[in-house]
Amino acid sequence: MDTSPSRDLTQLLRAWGAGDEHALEQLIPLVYGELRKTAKRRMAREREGHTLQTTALINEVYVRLVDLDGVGWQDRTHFFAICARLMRRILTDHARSRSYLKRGGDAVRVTFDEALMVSPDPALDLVALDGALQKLAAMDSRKGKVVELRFFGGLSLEETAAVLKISSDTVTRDWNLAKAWLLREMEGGPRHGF
Amino acid sequence: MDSERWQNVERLFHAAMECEESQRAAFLARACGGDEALLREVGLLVSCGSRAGRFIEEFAVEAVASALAGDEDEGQDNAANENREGTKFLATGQTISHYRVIRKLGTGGMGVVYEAEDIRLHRHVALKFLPDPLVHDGKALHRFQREALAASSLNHPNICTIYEVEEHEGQPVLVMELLEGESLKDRLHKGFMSTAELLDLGMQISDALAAAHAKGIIHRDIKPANIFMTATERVKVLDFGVAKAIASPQSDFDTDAESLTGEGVIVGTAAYMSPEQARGDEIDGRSDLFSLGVVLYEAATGQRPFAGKNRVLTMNAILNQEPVPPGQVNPELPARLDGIIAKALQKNPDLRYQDASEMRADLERVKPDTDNHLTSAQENGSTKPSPVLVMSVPADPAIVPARSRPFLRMIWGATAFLVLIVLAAAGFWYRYVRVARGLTEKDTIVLADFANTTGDSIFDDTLKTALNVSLRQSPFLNVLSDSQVAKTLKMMTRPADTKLTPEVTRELCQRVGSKAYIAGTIGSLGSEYVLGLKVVDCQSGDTLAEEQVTAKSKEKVLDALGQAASRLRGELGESLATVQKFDVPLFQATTPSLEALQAYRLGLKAYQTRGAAASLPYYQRAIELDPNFAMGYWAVGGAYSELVEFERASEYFTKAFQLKDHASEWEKLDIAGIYYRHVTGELDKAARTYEEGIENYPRNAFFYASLATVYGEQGKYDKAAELLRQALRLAPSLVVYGNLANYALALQRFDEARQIVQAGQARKLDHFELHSALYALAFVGGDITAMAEQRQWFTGKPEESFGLALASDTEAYSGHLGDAGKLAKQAVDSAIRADNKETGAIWQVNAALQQAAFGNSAEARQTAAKALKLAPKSPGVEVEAALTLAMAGNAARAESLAQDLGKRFPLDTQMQSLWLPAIQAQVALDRKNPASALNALQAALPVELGNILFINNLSCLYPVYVRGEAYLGAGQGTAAAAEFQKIIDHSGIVWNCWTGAIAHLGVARANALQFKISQGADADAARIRALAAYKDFLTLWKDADPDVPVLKEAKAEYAKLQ
Repeated sequence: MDTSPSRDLTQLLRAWGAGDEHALEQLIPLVYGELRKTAKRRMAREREGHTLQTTALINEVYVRLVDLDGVGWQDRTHFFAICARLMRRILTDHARSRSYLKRGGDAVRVTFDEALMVSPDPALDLVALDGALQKLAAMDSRKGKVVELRFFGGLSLEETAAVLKISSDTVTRDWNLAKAWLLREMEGGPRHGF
Repeated sequence: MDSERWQNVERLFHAAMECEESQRAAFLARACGGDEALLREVGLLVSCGSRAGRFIEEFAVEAVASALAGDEDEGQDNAANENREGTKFLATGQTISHYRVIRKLGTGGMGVVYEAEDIRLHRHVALKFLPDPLVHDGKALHRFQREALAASSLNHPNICTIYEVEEHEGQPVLVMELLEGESLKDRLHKGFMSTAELLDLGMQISDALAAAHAKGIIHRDIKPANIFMTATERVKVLDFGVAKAIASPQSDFDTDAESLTGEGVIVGTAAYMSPEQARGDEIDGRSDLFSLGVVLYEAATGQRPFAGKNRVLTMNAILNQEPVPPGQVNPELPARLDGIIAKALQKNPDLRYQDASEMRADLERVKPDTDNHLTSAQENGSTKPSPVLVMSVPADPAIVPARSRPFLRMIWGATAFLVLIVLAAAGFWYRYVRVARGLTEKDTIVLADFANTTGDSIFDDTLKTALNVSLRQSPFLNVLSDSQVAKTLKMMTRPADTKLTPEVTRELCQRVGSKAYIAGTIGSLGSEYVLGLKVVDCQSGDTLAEEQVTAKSKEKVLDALGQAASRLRGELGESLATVQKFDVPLFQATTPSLEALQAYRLGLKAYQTRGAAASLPYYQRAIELDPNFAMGYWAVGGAYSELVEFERASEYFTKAFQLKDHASEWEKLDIAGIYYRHVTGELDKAARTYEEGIENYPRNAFFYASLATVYGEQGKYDKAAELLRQALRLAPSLVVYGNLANYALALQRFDEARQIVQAGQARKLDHFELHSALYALAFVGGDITAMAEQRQWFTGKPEESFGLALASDTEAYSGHLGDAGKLAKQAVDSAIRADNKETGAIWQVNAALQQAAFGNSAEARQTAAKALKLAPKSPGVEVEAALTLAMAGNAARAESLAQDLGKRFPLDTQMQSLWLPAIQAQVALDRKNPASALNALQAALPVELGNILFINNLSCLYPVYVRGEAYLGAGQGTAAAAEFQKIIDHSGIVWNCWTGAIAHLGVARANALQFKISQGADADAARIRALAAYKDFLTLWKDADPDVPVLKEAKAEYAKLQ
């Protein structure tokens, strides 16, 4: 039972990355079960701890989940990409369902002030972002990937560079341009003829 | 866009972004060479790029996590799931088993609910289908079936009945009682309930819970959305969906380890959870009663007793906060009901109602006081006309007559967690691998210099200084001190002014054994500023926490930084309570003037690299720029104090003290402590201040060490030593081994003192106090070689004069008055060379006191006068000079000095209780009034052993010495002997001070006196003791300078007695 849940997860991520859509369905309960155990252990430990330290909890789960030893470096960067994609899918779906509820699907554009707001940006519209990102990727797929890895995957500059096998400087430049482009796209600024 | 054009856009974009902001438009106009479309396109991108700021810099999951956390409103949760399961769609008229679908009632997290007709029994029922994702989850299916089984065993008028579990195309379908009416949630939206309604509601729910609990089934998710009110005023509890069979003798329900809800997983809606549920503890029926208490509270007042902006804060409220009594919110509530709700909401389950029937009975008892029309209506079988609400297309999908919520919660719970986990899997791949938690209270952190890309040098060092002030308010965080940073840089063979880049800081952090460092950044974005703080584990390089804030203008930067710092404290694991308690806004805790802060910072830097004198102009500038800058005055005072300009120091400390409300809690205590110690000298107030410091900052060594010094000055050496040990446990690198060794010496624990010194040396400390302690140990152990060794250590050091003074005292102790005088002169000169006149004057006045005590009165008066001339307004010099003059026959001058001192230091503990009594007593002795002397010395008793800070040894115990003399003058031999003996017995305090030597003569004289006034055996014994003591003294002074008057007297007295 307790052998290595992370191996399963690793396999599933691998399978899903290879195109097996069913793997996604299996990822959910697996991860959930592992989380549950970790949560219980932590809660027992932090009985007097008052606040729930979500981040710490995730870390602990994560350590148990991912079979680092069983994954080579090549695979690891590959997983980054898969995970980022998974994240994008889950988060965008979630945001989409919420926006149906709240706004009847009418996406609210992010404004300048909101973009500057301290995290987390409540007005950031993931659905609109996802759409804009699709357009960006169609035109410049590498920049699309940079955003997916960084924003949805939470990767650092260096990690993104490692995954895409490009220099961090290039990632920085891609990232800056992509941000500007996406912001413009989402603000719905005037479109141009090219 | 074709790729060539896009590449062009890209190139121009980057080139433009590299230009100064003001130059960008001109650059683009030039570079686009008339291509208007290109100019517009790039121009827009550049404008977006320059203000993109934090846009999508936050991980997606963080934005969504907050949304998820905010998903307390069940309706949203459900709707969020709506499109996750929309696949199952049954057409009207379709038959499933023996049920014919009539219409869809609603969609909830638990799936779709249909109204159907039971063809066989001709009754209308509700059918509930599982949502798709669950169907594919074997465990979820299993749980679903369990749920059905558990709930179907409950047959109670107040519980929604489950008729059976059917199967349709491989998925289970719950067949349930069809309810008509509305949920309590909807009912509450319409307004308050009357007391009668409330009581009735409470009793009916209690009945439902009592029935379920009796079967060992806990609801786990009692909340208004799960409570249904039928048209006939019947209350029905829905959703025993997360119910879990608990071990109960009445329960025939099979329980296995993996319960319905999963072990330890928090299920239930946060606002209605019991504390034990929020903690993930085992729960029993009493948890449901707590939730019922919350429901009744809400129904009675219209508000929830525990509310927070998100799930975590709500849970925190449940765990740690007391709700406002419902009666205060709704004054019409009967007091007894108020009490019932309060009892249900007890955090400790043992203090709550122990079972539902008990609670019901109490509710029942309130009843007679109130309108009971509802009950009668019910008893009469629903005579009230009431609109029948069939639950078609409910406004809120959560109120479908099915257990819709719990699984939803689990699924969404699972997804939310999955989201976070996947984030971890992706983003924090190796960043977090080795980090299981944030900081602990024992960790120290190092602050890196801010990376300032604004081009405005005002931010260079100021922000770090401000951040330090802000973080120092925290009882939880320990920021590595500047001096420790400087010391470590030295170890790293780097210059003291090395810029602390993240790389250097990380190395420093590792070297010093700190846990993490904080790297700050500031950049500008048009007229705005973006500040970032990042806490990095210095071993692994993992990011432990991160904060990003923006400031609308330069003036708002400090404010924003303070806010970011406060949030960071919470993220790093500090409790909300202390973050809130100690959170003085930065502009208030420091100064609203960035320029003043910058000057202050430059002063700190100058102090570290070039010393106190160099720092002064900067500090002065800082308080010029902001005359209310408390820490600025405090720093000026500190610098003057270090430059031994105490009077000036006092002026500034006083000003800082007056402004202390402009400082953070930490600074406030520090300033107050310094004020009481150095300005007024009120040791008891200083002690109380530091005690408060320890209370507020129990993990910080500073206040322990400070309080120890105060206790030392009060003569409470054992308490002082204990505090220092605590301080060392908290901060092993603290340079207090010298003090600790001194306190051990004061307690006559010489071996321990030696071990402490060795411990300090093992930590590579080489402070002069350790060497003076070693000197003292060598002295009390009679180890001349070791004394010479230690004296040698001082040669050429800045503290050379201290070594010379020690040697001088040792010569005087042996009666070598000439050598003592020469060494004293060297000590004085050395101190003056080291630019420390006051210390020189102290060595000089010490010599004067020796001369007086040894009988060279004229010389003593001259030496004292020189000392006073060297440092005219030094209280340390003045008190010893006054004592000298009183001994050396100038009582009038002594008295006037004492009067002046008394006026200048009216509150000073040591002045009023130690020095002035000694001086006044000596003056009285000069006037042949020993009784008055003894009277004056009464005041000294509580503090006379206290540590005198401006000399080498801990104290010469002058009050004790003078009291011994006074008893001699009063003809009380025994009492006199006891005083002198006290000095001899405290060799660890007195060290090589002349009082230690003369005390032997005192004992001799006291016993000689006793011999004279006694008779018989007593007289003989006293004579023998006197002879022995004279011999001790004469042995001690065997090679003393022959012309010392006191030696001549002693020899004569001894000869006479023999």
